[in-house]
Amino acid sequence: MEVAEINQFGSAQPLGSGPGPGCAHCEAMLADAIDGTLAAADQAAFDRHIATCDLCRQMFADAQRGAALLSMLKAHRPEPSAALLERIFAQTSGAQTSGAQASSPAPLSLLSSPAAHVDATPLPGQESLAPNLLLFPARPVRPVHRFSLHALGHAMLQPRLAMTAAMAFFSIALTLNLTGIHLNQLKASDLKPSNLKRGLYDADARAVRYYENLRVVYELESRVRDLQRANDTDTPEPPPQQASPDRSTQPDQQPPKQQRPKPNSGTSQRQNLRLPEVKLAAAPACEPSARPLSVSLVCSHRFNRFNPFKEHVVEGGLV
Amino acid sequence: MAGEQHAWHQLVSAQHRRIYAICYRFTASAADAEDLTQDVFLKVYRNLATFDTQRGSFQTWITTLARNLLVDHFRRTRLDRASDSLDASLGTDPDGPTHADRLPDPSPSQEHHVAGLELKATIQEALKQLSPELREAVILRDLEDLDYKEIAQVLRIPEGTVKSRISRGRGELARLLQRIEKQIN
Repeated sequence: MEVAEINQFGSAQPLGSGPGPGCAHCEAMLADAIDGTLAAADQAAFDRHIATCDLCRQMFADAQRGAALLSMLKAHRPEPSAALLERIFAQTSGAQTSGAQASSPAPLSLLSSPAAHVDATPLPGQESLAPNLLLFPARPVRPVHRFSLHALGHAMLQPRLAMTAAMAFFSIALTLNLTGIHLNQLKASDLKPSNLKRGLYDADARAVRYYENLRVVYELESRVRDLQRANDTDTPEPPPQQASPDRSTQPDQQPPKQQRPKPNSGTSQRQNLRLPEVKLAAAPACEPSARPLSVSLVCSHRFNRFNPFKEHVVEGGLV
Repeated sequence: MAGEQHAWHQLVSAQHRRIYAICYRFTASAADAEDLTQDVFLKVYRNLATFDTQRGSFQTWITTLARNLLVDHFRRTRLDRASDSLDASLGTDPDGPTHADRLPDPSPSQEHHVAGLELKATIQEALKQLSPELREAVILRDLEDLDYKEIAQVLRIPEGTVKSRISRGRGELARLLQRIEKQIN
């Protein structure tokens, strides 16, 4: 399977024509045959081949016809406009004219073109603009006769511009939706500063209301309030004492892990109850195996003694 | 300085029509051809110092520059090229006759003249539809009379390939013209 090569124009090379090697050789001689410059032996071989090969005969006829058509075209050479020569000179060496010529009207193409005008205007004291023109060749701008919608559409449909436009449209639409502005209901009076301010406050209030009405926000706020309330009920109590017998506590709802008592947080049974645990836990453990059991017995006893709300006495350890 | 400038003017005057014709035949657009011609001479002006007479003639060198710019132009514009239609004017002259719009003229001499113009425009149109490799080969050989060796230097391909492309280009042009004329009729 032949793989087409890519040529300088970026397209696949046309693969060879003609089915046989004889046809390929005939094709190679075609140009010279039309020019009449084939050697005698080659001419004979060529004539023999086209007498027998329809494909090559057709190819030869087409090539002859094509050459004849091109010779007709050759008779009328396309002529450039008169201004082309002047433009070329202006671009390359026209600015090298001396100062004497600068006072005279400059070449039409140079001064008539808006793009070249700025570069070509000689400033006082400047000797030559040739280096500037060479570095920044000013091509005269041809007036655009037709506004090309196709070119504009082609430019706008480029992915990056289309994405930018889409994102801008989306952002504006979302903002208008969130602020509750409806373009079809917009009036001129809505654009007054006082109305704008009111609209802003309304939008702000709507946003805050929406936020506060969210379930998750509501639940979080209620939890926080409960915690705050729970902490506040503990606040107006005398400072805690180590062996205080009076305890009037509610059922212990504290988490089982130990917490540091707050300063001036007031007495509570559980806090006083906790102190012995802390003390005992901090004591040197001579008999580690026996100590936890005795601690638990003592603590449970104390808990049972000082907890008036507890109906059952749980023995054997802290529950 | 004045001598150099004069020499440059002579060179441009001598070559600009030929370069324009090559560009026009390839692009079939007068505006593009003029732009490209300007670019060619600007490039020649900037690179004059690099021209080496031992490598080839000045004509070959400037033709190579023109051809390279045509290749670049072709690559740049291949995405923008729309397919040709019968309503497009023959060549690029907007006031010229169109394929489907041929007004009969009672005067025989004028009729011949118009028919001749139309045929040339049709041939140019067919040339434009040729693939670029074949197009450049037939333009340089049949329209600009360069010899095979020069064309091989300009296109940087062997002489055999040059001849093969010229033959295929001529044949393809004839077939395209037949197809265009069938469409018109």
